[in-house]
Amino acid sequence: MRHQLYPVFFLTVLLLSGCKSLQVLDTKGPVAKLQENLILLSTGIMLLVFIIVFSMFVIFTWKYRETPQRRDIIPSYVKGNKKLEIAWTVIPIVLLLILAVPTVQGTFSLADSQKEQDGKMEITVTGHQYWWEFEYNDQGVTLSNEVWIPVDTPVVFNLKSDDVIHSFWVPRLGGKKDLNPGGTNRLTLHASETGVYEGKCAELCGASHSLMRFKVHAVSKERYDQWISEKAEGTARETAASDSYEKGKKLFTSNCLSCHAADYTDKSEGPNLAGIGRKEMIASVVPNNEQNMKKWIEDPKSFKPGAEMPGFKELSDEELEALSNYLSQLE
Amino acid sequence: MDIKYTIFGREFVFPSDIIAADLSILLMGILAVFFLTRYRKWKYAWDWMTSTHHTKVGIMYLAAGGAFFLRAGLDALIIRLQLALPENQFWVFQGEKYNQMMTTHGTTMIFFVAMPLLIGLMNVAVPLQIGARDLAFPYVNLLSFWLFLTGGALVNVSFVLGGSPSTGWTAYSPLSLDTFSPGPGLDYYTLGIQIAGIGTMLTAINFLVTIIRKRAKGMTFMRMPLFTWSSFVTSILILFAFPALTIALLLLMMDRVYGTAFLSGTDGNPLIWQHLFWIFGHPEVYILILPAFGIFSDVITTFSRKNLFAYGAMVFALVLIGFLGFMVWIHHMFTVGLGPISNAIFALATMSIAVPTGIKIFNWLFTIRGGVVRFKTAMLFSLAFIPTFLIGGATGVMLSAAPADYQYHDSYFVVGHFHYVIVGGTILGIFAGVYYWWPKMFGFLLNEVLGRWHFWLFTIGFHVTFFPMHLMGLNGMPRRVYTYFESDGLGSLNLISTIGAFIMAAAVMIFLFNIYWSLRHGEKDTTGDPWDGRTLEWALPSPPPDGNFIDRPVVTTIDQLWNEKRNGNGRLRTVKEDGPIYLSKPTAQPVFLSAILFCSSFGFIFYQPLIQWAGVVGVVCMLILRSFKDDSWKAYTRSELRDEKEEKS
Repeated sequence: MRHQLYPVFFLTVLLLSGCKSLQVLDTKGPVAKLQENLILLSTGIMLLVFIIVFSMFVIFTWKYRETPQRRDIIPSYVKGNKKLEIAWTVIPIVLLLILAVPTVQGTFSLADSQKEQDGKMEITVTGHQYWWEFEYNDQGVTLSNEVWIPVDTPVVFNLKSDDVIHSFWVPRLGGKKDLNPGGTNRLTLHASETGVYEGKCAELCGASHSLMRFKVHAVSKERYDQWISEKAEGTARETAASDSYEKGKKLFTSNCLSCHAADYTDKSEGPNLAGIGRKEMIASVVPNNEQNMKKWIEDPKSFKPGAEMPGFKELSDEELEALSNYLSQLE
Repeated sequence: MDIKYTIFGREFVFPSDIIAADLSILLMGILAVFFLTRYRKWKYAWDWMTSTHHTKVGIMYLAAGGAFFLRAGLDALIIRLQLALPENQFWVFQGEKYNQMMTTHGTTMIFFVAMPLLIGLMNVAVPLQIGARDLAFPYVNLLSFWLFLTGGALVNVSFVLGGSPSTGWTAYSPLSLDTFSPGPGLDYYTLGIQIAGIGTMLTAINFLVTIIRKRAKGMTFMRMPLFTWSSFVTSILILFAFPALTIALLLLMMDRVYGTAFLSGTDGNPLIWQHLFWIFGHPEVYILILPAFGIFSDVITTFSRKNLFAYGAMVFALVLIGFLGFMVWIHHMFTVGLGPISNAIFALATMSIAVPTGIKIFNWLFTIRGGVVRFKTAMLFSLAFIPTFLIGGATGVMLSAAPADYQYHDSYFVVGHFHYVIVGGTILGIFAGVYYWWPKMFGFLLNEVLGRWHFWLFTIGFHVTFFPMHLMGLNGMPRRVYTYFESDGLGSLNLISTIGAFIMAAAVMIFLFNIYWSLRHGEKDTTGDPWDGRTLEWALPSPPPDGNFIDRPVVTTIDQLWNEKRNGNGRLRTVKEDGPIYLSKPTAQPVFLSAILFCSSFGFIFYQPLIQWAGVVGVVCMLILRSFKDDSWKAYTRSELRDEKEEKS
């Protein structure tokens, strides 16, 4: 019997160690921590219920199975049992109350923290099919598909949508909230550790819903202050003005500028491309390298179905190279 | 993957997936025509299509629902293949096409598989269980079936005629409006579900009237079998929930076809849709699960050879679940931002449903306790339901804790949860019901060995497919995505899930083979009571004669037949009645009415006012025609029905 239990034991350990690495259970901020604790509490209660009921199930079906000896037994009529019935009505109510108290507390405390906004840092988030726009209202800085926040600081995200409903979700920092067109939702998140956290759209928003992602860079306060003031000044840095760079800039001005800004302090209809040179991914979908960039400019829909950007197939290979070279230098 | 031809300087593109779908439709059509002609079954098929008899209508529901089950199951396999590996590119099913697959899978499974299969079983069993000769309105019953089939056909044919709906079965606005979904897909969705929904509401009224008015003498409400009770409560839920959907679909159709802006994000309010949809949508979940609860109650009592533990509490729990089902819809909208008060109230209301559900689980367990459990296939499915539904219910309670739900919401955790309740509850219930009532419907039994293979593969495949989904959700996988990155750490869980899906598919294949094999070699049910049954339907020969009970039974207790077998001569006592028995005549009107609705729907889908008006005129004409038809019933004498029965056997 012992030996038969080894695989069960092994699986349990594997499962528990695996669970520890799940994003929602490996949280990096107080909002997500509250939710994680509630998840663990409810899982615990439910596991208890499951074990009790499942054992009863196994015992009853095994013990009362039809065997050759029991074949002709006609069980007697049992109407019910008042005491038992009261027990399995009252005990679940008690268990639910244990869960209900932190649920209600949590619901209100998360909502309260979203009300007190005085002095909190605010970032406006606008959802677009299929990219994220982050505006730092005080500094006038606009980012796309990435947001930088200082650690140990509650940050209020004002959530808006430009088209359909999206939902803002950073699993390691906290649960999601919808971006409704025609309204603003507020969500306070708070990173307690530095790091880069994945953000996702959680509400189906069209063909490239799966690819509507962003990154949250949580950095130390000093680093953040330095970073934001740098960006607020603009990035008008003229690197060694090579021919190719100038040519790329010209191509950008004539082809891209109508939709894309290239400066942190500018706003544009499409994603602000400031900083694209240092990003790991193009449009948060493909690794950022010259080859992919050229392919993206030619045919963005092959990477991101339903994206609004038209393909620029008429550009020559040389022009594409100059353009991608220029973009790679936007930092 | 597209096939391209250049003819006369023009390029023609044939997408390979559409061609494959066209070919399969063509092939099935040709095969159907061939076999109907080869075996001279056209008349036979027409008799079925126009028959108003409840068993025949029920079997047609089961057949059509079963066909849609295969289609939606194929969609599920395509979904799982696309998601099997990170950044996978399976055939054409990325982006928009994936969304079409995912939407068709959900919409079809809910509206055109789960509901019609349950309604089919209700049609077969409820009149027999209460000692009725037929439903209260046989004509309306046939019409309901055809409306359902029309709706299902519209949604299913959309794939090859312009594109399927692609916004998920919930069709949230403004994504579902013509601004963001310009193709015809969403129009197929609104019309298909609207038409099928009318049929469903008519069915609900039909069953309510039947159960209230057509019970045998002495069959009081508190003596009804649990499946009849659950059908009764379900019908009430349909009657109150579906009108909300009707209104929602009407608003969506007005916005799409006639340019209103009820649901738009700029001039209207998209949240109207979410509220209306979930005021329907949450009771819908209970519409799906309550009849399954009823089936389990009947099957578990029969195969434990014991009466239902605490019958009164079981009925009370059923009614309470139905009632509370209307009080919880906001839990689908916790992340919308409605504020902490409504979130907290609806969280508590949702949790409270666990109490009556728990009562039911314990009562089933205590029905088994002290009984003699026979592991027939129907019972195996019922037993597997208990732990499976327990997990689904447990994750349901976890989801109700609003702050935790902010994490689960719209993630794969939710996908795991609702498959545990819908497949683990409704679909297992349907399989149990099909194995249980199969001999009553067709006069032969399904093979038990194949049945066990079907059961074990399906149950194991089910857990392998859906359990990992909870973990995917906790690891940050949102719902309705067609891809994920290698770095997301979701690859192995998804691969496991895909393997499970194929195990389930194999199980369904075995089930189909079981039907084929049993049709030729299956054990004949000569007694009409193969399971040592407890309720009235097992007192009849299999299949029952037209009119079911030539002499209607008298009921004095719950489990009347069981009681007669133990304390009497094993036969039901009957009422002495004279005079003719009236049975409903076949009619082709529902077929034509549905055909008109089907054709004119394309007028709305492709915005052709002329066809729209033709449809309106056609429908009104059919209604007038119906109102002049007053010879729907035919009188039989008792001896006529007896002779007919003997002729058949």
